[in-house]
Amino acid sequence: MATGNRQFRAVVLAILVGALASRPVPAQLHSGTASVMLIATLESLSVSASTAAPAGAQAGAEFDGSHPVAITTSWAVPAHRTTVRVVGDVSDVPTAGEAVEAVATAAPASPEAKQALSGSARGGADTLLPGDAERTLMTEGAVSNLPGLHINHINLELGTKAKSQAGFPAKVVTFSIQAEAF
Amino acid sequence: MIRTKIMLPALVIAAGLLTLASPAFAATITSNTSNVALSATLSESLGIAVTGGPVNFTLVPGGTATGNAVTINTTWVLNNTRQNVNLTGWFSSASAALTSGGSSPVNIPTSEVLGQVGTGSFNAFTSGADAGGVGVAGASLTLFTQPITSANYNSSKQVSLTLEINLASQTQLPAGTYTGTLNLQADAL
Repeated sequence: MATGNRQFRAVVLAILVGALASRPVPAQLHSGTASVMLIATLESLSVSASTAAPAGAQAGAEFDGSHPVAITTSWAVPAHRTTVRVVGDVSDVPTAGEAVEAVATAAPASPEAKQALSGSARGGADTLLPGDAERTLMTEGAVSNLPGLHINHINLELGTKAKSQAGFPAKVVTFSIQAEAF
Repeated sequence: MIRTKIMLPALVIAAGLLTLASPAFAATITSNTSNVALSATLSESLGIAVTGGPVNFTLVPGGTATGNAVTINTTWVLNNTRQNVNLTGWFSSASAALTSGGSSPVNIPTSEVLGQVGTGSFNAFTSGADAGGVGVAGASLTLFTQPITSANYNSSKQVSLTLEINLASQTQLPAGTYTGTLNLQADAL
C-alpha cells in the first residue's frame, strides 16, 4: 500500500513537472524600427594673433622698431577650395595734416618668403582689406593639404613709420589680419 | 345523529381539497444548465515614435560638436511575464556611423558618436546587441531599461536623446558633409 502511494505521488509530480515544462514561454516582443538622420558638416577657418601690441613714442621718428607678432591660422576646408590666404591690413584714422605709414615685415615659416608691408593707409576711413593697404602674409595652395585641420604659424614684425612733423600727436594704428579660403 | 352523518363527509371533502391545494403538489421544475464561454484578448504591443530629427552637427576640428536633441516615446501593453523593456539605438556599422560618401568615403566611427539620455552621461555607441538581439556588435547603445511590474503593464516612457560627435581622436577629418542613420528599436523580454 505504501509503495502504491509513492508511485501515485511520483506520477502526479511527473505530470505537474511536464505541464510546467510545456507552458509556452512568450517570445521576445520587438517594436518597429525608427530611424534618425544625422547630418554633420565640417568647415572652419580661423586666425589669431598675439595680443602684444607695439606702442611707443613716435615723435619725429621714422620707425618704432620691430614688434614680433605671432599669427596662427587654422583651417578645415572642403576639397573644392584650393587656396588659403592670410592677409594683413593697416587701418588709420588720419586727421588733417597728418600722415601715417605702417610698415611691417612678414616672416612666415612657410611658404611665403619674407616680404615688406609698405602699404599705407591715408586719406579716409579704412575698411578691412581695402586695396593697396592689404598685404598677403601667407598663401597655402597645396591642394593635398587643404582637407583636414591645418595650422600655420607666421612671425610678423610690425612697426610704425610716421612722417616727421612738429606736434605730431599720438596715433593708434591697427593692423588687422584675416584669412580666406577660395 | 343524522346531522353528524351529513357533516362528516363534508369535512372529509374539505380536507381533501385543502390537501390538493398545498405546495407539495407545486414543486419547481429546473432545466439543465447551458454555458456561454467568454474570451477576451488584450494583445501585447510595443511601439516607438521619434520626433525632432534630423540631427544636425557643426563639427569642430579635433573637438566636440553637439547636435539637436530628439524625443523618443516608447509605448507598450505587455503581459505579466515580461520583465523589462529596453530601448536600443544602433548604427549599421561600427566603423562608419557617418560617412562622407563618394568613391573614397571618409567615415566617422561609432566610437566618436555619443548619446546622452536626459541629463545622464554621454556614452559611445560601441556596445553589442542587447539581450533581445536588438543592435549591432560594436555599434549599439542601450538607452534605457525599464523594469515591468504590475504597475506598468500598460505604460509609456519618453526620453530626450542628445547626440555628440567627438573628433578628438580624428583631428585630420577632412572638411565636408557627413551623413548617417541612427536606428532605434525597443524590445520586451
